[in-house]
Amino acid sequence: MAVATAARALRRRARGSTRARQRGIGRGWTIATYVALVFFVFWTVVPFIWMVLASIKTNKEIYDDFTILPKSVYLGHYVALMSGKFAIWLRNSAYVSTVATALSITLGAFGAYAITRLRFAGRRTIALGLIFTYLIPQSLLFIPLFQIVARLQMADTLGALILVYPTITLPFCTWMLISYFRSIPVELEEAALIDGCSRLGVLFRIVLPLSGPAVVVVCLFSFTQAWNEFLYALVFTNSLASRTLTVGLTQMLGEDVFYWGQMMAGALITAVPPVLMYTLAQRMVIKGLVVGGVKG
Amino acid sequence: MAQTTAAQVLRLPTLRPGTLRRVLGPEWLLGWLLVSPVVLIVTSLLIYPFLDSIALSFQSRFIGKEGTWVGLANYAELVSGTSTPWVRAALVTVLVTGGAIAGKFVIGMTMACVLNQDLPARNLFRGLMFLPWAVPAVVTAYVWRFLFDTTGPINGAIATFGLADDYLYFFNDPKLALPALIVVVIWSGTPFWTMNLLAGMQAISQDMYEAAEIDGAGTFQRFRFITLPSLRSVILVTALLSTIWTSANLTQIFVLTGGGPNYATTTLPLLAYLVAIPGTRLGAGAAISMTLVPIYLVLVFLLTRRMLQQGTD
Repeated sequence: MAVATAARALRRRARGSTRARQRGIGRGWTIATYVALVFFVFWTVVPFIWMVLASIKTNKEIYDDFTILPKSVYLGHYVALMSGKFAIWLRNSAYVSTVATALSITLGAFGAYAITRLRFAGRRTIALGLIFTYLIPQSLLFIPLFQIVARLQMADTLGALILVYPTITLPFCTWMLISYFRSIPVELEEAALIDGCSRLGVLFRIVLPLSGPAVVVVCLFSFTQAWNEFLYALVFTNSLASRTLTVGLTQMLGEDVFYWGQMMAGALITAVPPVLMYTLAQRMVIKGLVVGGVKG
Repeated sequence: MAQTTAAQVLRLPTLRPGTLRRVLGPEWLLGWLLVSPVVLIVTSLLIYPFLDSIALSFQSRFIGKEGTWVGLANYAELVSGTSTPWVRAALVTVLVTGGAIAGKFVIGMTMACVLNQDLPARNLFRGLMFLPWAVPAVVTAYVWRFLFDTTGPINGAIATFGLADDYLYFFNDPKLALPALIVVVIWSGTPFWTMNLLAGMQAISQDMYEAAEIDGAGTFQRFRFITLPSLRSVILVTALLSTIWTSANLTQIFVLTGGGPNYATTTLPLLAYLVAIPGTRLGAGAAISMTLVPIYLVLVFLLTRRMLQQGTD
């Protein structure tokens, strides 16, 4: 009890000193800080608000009246969207991202465990190779990959995307899992090995359960990367039925003169899964991002 | 006798498991088994295509046809005149990347300084300001295309306040397209800088600030002589990563301008796409991509050295 009180007092004093230091930046700087904060909130939020509002405005409100706030919530754009090709693209995106993520996390977990804990020739080279390949931009690879996809007769199929998306997500998953697996105390694994557990048993019964939250975050990340991908989907598919959401959105332009309402509704739906995932796992996402470095 | 000599000459390890274990490591079989899928995918879909791309850049090859070797012709074509699209695209790439990185650094640093203060609801603001990072590049591009559109709020404000005689057609005007594009790239790329800089700032020991304050250093001096030098390594790594991804990314440009008007916003990766896929000239497109490789190699080399250093710390 006394200890708890003392700790609380200490914490309070620590917080007090933080305040004092913040006060140390001076009144002028404090005002500047808040002015900048207001500016940054506007800069960040206005595009989102504009997107949401436009998606529920009528065409008249968007093109003739230029109203900022819609008079009522108009859901016509969403209805029109879901009755068109958009529903297929949504399904395609979900399917491709899920399969690519499942593949990457499974193969990545095996690879990461081997690189972290097993002693064999070549593992350092492989770890280094992973960083290198992770840093090769997609725009250097889409031309040769296009040839490979054509040679495998996979052009214009979702299979092509499932084949190439692991090139983005797999090095990333493996690299992130390596850093998580390293943080698990090796003594736990040694104890299990002495008790007669096999290496794979250690991976499935100790390492993976212990890194559960990390695995979830890596999955969310990987899903988002596949979901957001644009260039490969643009190059490797071309029929309306095999497009993903990101490329499908670009097809909507020019179909209709009054497109902004539907476009913004479509953009909003496309943005929801990544934003949702980010909100759910925010703390871990930021930590992982700073550690691993994520394409941004 | 003859057998032993052959083994000695070829220096083959005998197939006793003990020897293999000594040469390849104690857990080589399971280890290789577990990493083989990763290695296979990385080799066949990243390393092989990369090498293939080099070979392709020396060929004249159209989609759906066999290639013929043409030596350096593809490269010669790129620089044959002072006004080829390649020269222009190289310049645009430098402008977009340079402008965007400068903007992301300045805004990201200011944002990180603000978010590092003792603000009310600080975590809420942090979460909010990182949001543009989570949004797909295509969505960012569309939202901004609308913001800059004649029916959008930017032109609305211009009309309301009478700042210009006519609507500004941002992405159709060669003078306005590039700056407008850079604004969009900055908007979506800033959170990555903010996150890294903020994490770097939180790792700086508070003792240094207290000592500096006792010595009479002002707010700006503390930033200039403590924060900035302490962040050197973070800034370097972030700048390298951001340079690679900004220069290579063509999504926003594709959606906002398609490279126009008249190549005013075509960067090298976009030019490679336009030549190779809609233009069906795979070889020429590969050559355009290849001209970026030397720069990327330098950047990646610097980066992996840094990242490995940090990994061993």
